[in-house]
Amino acid sequence: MEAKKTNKKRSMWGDVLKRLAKNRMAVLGGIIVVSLILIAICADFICDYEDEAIFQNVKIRLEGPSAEHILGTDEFGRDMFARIVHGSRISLLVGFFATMLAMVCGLILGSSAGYFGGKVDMIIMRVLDVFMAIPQLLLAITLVAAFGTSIGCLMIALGVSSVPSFSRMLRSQVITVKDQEFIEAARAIGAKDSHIITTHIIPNSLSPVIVQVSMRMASCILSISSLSFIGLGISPPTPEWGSMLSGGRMYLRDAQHITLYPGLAIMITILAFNLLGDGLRDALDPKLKR
Amino acid sequence: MYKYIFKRLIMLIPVIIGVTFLVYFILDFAPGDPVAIILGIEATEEAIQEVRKELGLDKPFIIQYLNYMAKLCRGDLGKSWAKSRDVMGEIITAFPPTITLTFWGMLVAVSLALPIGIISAVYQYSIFDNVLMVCALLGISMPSFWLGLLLILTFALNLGWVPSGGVGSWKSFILPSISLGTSSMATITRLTRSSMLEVIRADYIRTAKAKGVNQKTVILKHALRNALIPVVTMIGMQIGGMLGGSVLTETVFSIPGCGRLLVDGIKQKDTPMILGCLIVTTIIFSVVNLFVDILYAFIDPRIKAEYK
Repeated sequence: MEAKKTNKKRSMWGDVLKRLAKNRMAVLGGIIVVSLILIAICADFICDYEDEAIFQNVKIRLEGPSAEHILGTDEFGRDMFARIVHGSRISLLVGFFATMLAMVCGLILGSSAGYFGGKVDMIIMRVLDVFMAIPQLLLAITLVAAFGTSIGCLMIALGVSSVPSFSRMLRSQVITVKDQEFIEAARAIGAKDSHIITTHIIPNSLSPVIVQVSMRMASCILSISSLSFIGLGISPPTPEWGSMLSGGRMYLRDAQHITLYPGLAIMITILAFNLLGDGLRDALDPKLKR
Repeated sequence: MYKYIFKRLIMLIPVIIGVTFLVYFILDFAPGDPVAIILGIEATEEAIQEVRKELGLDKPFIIQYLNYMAKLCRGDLGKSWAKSRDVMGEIITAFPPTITLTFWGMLVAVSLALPIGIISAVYQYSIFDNVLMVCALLGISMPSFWLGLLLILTFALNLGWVPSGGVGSWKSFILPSISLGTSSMATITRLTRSSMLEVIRADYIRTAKAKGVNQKTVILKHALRNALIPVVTMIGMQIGGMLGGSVLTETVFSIPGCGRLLVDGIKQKDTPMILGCLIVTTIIFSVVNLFVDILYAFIDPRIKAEYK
């Protein structure tokens, strides 16, 4: 019985992976995402944090790309390449934890609203309406203003501001799933609500969640660099793409590389997660199954 | 119809109350003692107590909130701690640039996104479609502030066609509008395309084609009106994104708008200013969404019929 179950599961995800592998854009996105994660993990082996990403040497400030500094140096003479490599850590870390927080809260709120309906649904949705009424970036800014700009606070701020969209999507998904026959069957044999939600409803509503996670990673990474850019996120000297861009603004005319490369890094990262998300959506869409 | 509008108006009230409460509640945790900010560090204990009383900070949270709301209803947002000026006055002077920016940004986005989305859907998988969809993907992935800086570099610093910032003339709004509008344009284009594709495959479109209605009428009358429904929702949501995103655009182009006011307020720990900016922005956003919902009724006769 147990073996059969895992077999079946594997074939479903195997199917999805097969379809994903056929989509060239999605594969490209996936490769970039995996490389970014590897870069973030191995950052210390690629360039030394203290010596290259933090240590200031004004003698070589604002130098263009050369053999020694392949992306040039910034306004304090720090190696741009090292800072961009180390910057990937913050973006991915904050993006990941913020998305996970939003996903867990969204799963709990969305599935209970959708499953129980009635009063529970009404209360949860009205509260979320209030959160939705504040533009997402402004909500994140509000939370940062109140709780500070440490990495933990940023994760919470970005996570909380993403909860409403996750919950809404899950709720509508759960509503379509919960009226299907196998749920009725589960209820008929006396399964508890918590059991039905965790073993039947959530697994069957998961495909849009997976897509949303990929897209949300993209938007959280964008938000973190946006916050840092306006000086409300990660503060210097910690290497972060948004704050690097904001530092480079002053030297736009003479040293364009300081502005160019961190922005490129942000764009490639977001593009990769979007490509992966698009690909996942197509791969998980049962209508496109052959 | 009027019943529908009325119902939506009534529903707006709890949302606005909820939003003000939420923002007030969150900012209650904001660090920094207002009295210390106003009086400086060397204030005497007596003076501190006096100012606390004057600001109503000695009362419990809920009373403070109710007082704030009572004043808000009269259009009074309190006094700024950092500038000792009326918050409402500051916001009124800062709002026109933000609204102008959002308006032009939205106009740029919608006027390009709808035609591109429709044409892409009609000629699916053509070169035109492929190229534009790659552009749209780049558009949603590009940080608006980075795009803004690149635009300044190219068109203001290198070519010298337009000013790099400020609110001098209409010319100075060109780059900010493009920078603010691009990501919304890309999002709306993608949605228009996918929504059109879904509708084009519907049975009634095939029927219309079969009975010999010409292509243009089928696309613009039969398909577009149905495809627009999700697009209109997205446009409403994008306006919120733009009101938030204007914080970034205003920073890049040094526009003295509401976004700048908010960021400065946060840096100076000026809670009444932060509160005022956020509350005014969210109220505007809610009202805009109300309009979007009313617009729905015009596009989708099913809603109108429900409230006959």
